[in-house]
Amino acid sequence: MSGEQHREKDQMSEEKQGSAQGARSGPQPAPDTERPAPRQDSVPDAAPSAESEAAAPGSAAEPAPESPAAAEPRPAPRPSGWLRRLVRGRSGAAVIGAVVGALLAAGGLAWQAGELPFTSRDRCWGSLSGDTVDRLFSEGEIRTRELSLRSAGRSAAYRTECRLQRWKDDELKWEISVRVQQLAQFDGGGARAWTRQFLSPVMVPLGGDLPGMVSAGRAWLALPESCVGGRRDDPPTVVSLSSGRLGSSDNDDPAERRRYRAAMADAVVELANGVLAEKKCRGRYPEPGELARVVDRQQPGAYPKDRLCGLKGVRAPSWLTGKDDYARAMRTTGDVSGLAHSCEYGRDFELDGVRLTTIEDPRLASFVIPLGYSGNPRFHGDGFGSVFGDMSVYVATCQTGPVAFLVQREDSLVREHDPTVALLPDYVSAEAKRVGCGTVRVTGPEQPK
Amino acid sequence: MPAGSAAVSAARRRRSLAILLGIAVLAGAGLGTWATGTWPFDRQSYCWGAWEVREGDRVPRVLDENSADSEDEERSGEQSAPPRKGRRATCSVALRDKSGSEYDERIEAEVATVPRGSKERRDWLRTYLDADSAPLPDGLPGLVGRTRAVFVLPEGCDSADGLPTAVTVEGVRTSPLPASMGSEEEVADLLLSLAGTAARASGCAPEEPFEAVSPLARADADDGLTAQGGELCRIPGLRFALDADDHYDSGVGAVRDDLQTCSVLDTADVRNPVRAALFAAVSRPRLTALFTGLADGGSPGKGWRGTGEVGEEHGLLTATCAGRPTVFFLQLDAFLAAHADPDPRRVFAAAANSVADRLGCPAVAPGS
Repeated sequence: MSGEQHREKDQMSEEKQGSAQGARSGPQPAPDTERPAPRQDSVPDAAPSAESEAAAPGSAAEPAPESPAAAEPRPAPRPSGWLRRLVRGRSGAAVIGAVVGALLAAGGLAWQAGELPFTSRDRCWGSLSGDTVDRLFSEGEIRTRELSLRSAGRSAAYRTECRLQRWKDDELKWEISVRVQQLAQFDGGGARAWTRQFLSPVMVPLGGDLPGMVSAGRAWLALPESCVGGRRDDPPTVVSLSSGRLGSSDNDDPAERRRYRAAMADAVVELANGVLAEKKCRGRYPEPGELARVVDRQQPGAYPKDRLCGLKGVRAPSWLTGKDDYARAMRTTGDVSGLAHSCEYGRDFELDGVRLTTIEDPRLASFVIPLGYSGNPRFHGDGFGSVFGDMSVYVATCQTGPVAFLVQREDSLVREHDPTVALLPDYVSAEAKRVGCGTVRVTGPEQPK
Repeated sequence: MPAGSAAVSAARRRRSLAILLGIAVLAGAGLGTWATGTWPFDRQSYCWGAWEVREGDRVPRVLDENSADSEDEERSGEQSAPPRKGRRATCSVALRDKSGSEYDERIEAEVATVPRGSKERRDWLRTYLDADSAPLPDGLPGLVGRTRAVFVLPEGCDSADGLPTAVTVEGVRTSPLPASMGSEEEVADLLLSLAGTAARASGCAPEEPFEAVSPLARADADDGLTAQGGELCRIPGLRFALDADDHYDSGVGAVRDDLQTCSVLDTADVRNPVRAALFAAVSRPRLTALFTGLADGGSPGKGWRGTGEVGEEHGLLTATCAGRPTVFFLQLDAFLAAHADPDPRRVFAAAANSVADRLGCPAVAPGS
C-alpha cells in the first residue's frame, strides 16, 4: 500500500530525509531494490503504454537479445553415415575446403557487420554495457525498447528514447528512460520541466571537462557541437537519463546513494559515447571524474539572513527565517564549477520550493534566453530579463558569453513577497560577481507600455 | 602394390592438405587486411610519411583518393629534408586543376622553432592563436582551426637556446582569403599525425602518442554578442574609442580556464580583412612556452604581479593565477593603440584583471 502511494505521489519531494517527510513511516526504498510491489492491476497503466509507444510503427525497435546463444542450432553430436562418406575420399578435401571457406567468409562478414553471435549486444543503441545495467538494476528480467537514433538532434521537434524496465513475477518493478533531444527554445513549459528535473541542487558536475551533471536519480550530458552541428546559439542536444520518477532514487544510506549516482554517471557517459559512435562522430568522452559530495538538506539558519544561499546581499524572506514551527529547509549545489548550479529553499521543495539557478554554460543558457525577453514585467540594466509565469529569467553577457539567471517558484500562492520579482535583481548581482561576470546592474521591474 | 599406392595417396593427401592450409591462411590474411583497411600496396604518402592518400570519411579533400582520380586534377607533393632538432623543415601537398582554371588547393606544413625576433613572433602568435582556432581536447598543446592549426612539441624538442618547436599546417588557395583544409577533425588528424612524425624524426617523441580522444570543440570565432558597455571581446576594460566608421570586428575564441583568445579584425577592406589585434590568456602547459623570450625577466612596473613588458602596442605579463603560471598577452595595431581608452597600458591592465577575476585569482595589474 505504501508503495502504491509513493508511486502516485509524483509531486513528492526528491530529498526525503528532511523533516517534512519525517512523519512518513519506515525508511525510503533504495533505488530499485526492495520497493514494495504495486498491485497487479496497477501495472498495466504504466507498462503497456510504454511498450506500445516504444514499439511505434516505423521505429527501429528490436527485442533485446535475451539469450542469443539459444537461437543457434546445436551441432550434431556425431557425423551420420552420409556425412562421413562425404568427408572421406578424394572429394572430401574439396568439401572441407568449401565448408571452411564458407565459415571463414561468414565469420568475416559477421565480424565486419558487428553481428557476431555469442556476444551479448549492449542495450540502448548498443551503448549501455551489461555491467552498468547490473549496477542500475537489482535482479529481475530487464527488457529494453528503443526508438531509432536517426531523428535525434536534427531539430528540437524530435527526440528519441530508450527505456529499460525491470520485470519480476510479471510485474513492472522499475523503469529507466534515456532520451536524446535538442533542448527547445521558446518553450516555457519545456524549460520549466527540464530545469526542474535536471538542474536541481542535487545535481553535481560529472567532473573533468564533461559537459553534464548527475544525481542519484537523474543525469545528463550534452553532445559535442562537432557532432550535432547547428548554429552557435542553438541549444545543446543532450542525452538524459531518468531513473524512476523524480525523487524516487532517494535512499537513507548515503553510501548507497553515492554508489547509485556513480552508476548513473558511468551510464550517461556510455550512452553519449554510444550515440557518438552510432552517428559516426569522432571522439569519445572520458569516464566521469570524481563527483562532489551528495547534496543534503541544510537548515536555513546555516547562513545569515542577508546571505540567502550564502550570497552576499540576497535577503531571505521573513517566513524562511521566522521562528514559527514550519519545517523549513534549504539545499545548494555542492560544486559550483559545473555548467550550472542552483539553490533551493522551502518546506517541501516540490510543493513550495523557490529555486535560484545560474546557467554559466553559454549553450545551455541559450535555451532559456528567449524567455528573458518574452515575458512581463521586464527587467533592464546591463542585461535583459522578464518574469515568465512562475519564473523570472535574466541574461547578462559575460566573458564566456551569455549567462542566464533564473528564479523559479513552485507554489502558486501570490504572496506580498514574490521571489521571482523581489529576489532577481539581488541574485543576479551577487551571482554575476561570483561567476566572474564583474558588475551587472539590474533595473526594473517595468510593465511594458 | 597396394602398400605403394597407399603411400602415394597419403603423400598426395598431405600435399593437398598443405595447399588447402596455404589457401586458407592467404584468404584469412586477405580478409583481415580488407576488413581493417590495411592493404599494404598502392599508398601515396606525403610529409615524410605522416599523411597518406586515403579513401573514406574524414579525409581532407587534398588527400582524398577519390578527388584526384579524374583526368582534371593532379596531386603533387614537396618536402624538405626530414625534421631535425633545431632545423626548419617544410612540406606540402597540392591538388592542381589541369583544365586551365589555375585552381590550386594546397596544404602547407612547417616544423620549426618559433620565430626569434619579437615582432615576427608576435605576428606568428596573432596568426596561430587566432580566435578561429579552438584548443585541442585532453589538454593537448595545440589549436585547430579549419584554415590553420598549431601544435607545440614537447620540451625535449626545444632548440638549444630553449625555444619551443611548433608544427603548423595551413590551407592555401589562389585567393588571399584563408582556405579551409577540411573539418576540425580532419585538420586535427593532419596536425597530430605530422606532430608524431616530426617528434619521432627529431628523436624527441614521448612514449604516449599525440592523440585526441575526447570530442573536438567547434572552431570558429563568436562574433555574435557584444559585451555591456561596448568593450571588445566581451572583456571588461578592453575598451577603444571607436566610432561607426572604424571597421573593427572582434571574434571571441576559446574562453576556458587554460586558454582565452580574442582576435580583432580590421574589415575596412571586406575582401581582405587584416588581423589588427590579439588578446590571449594562456596557462595550458607547453602553450605558454610559445611566449618564451618575448620579454626579459623583469617586472613591468609598480603594481604589476609577475614579470613581463608592457608597451604602447603590446603587453605581455606572466603571473601565477589560480595556481598556474598564466601568460596575458595583448597586441594592437597602431590605430587601436592610438584609440585605446584611456591608454594602451591601462587597457591591458584592465583586461588582464578582468580575466584574472574570471579565473578566480587576485588582480595581476594595477587598478585604474
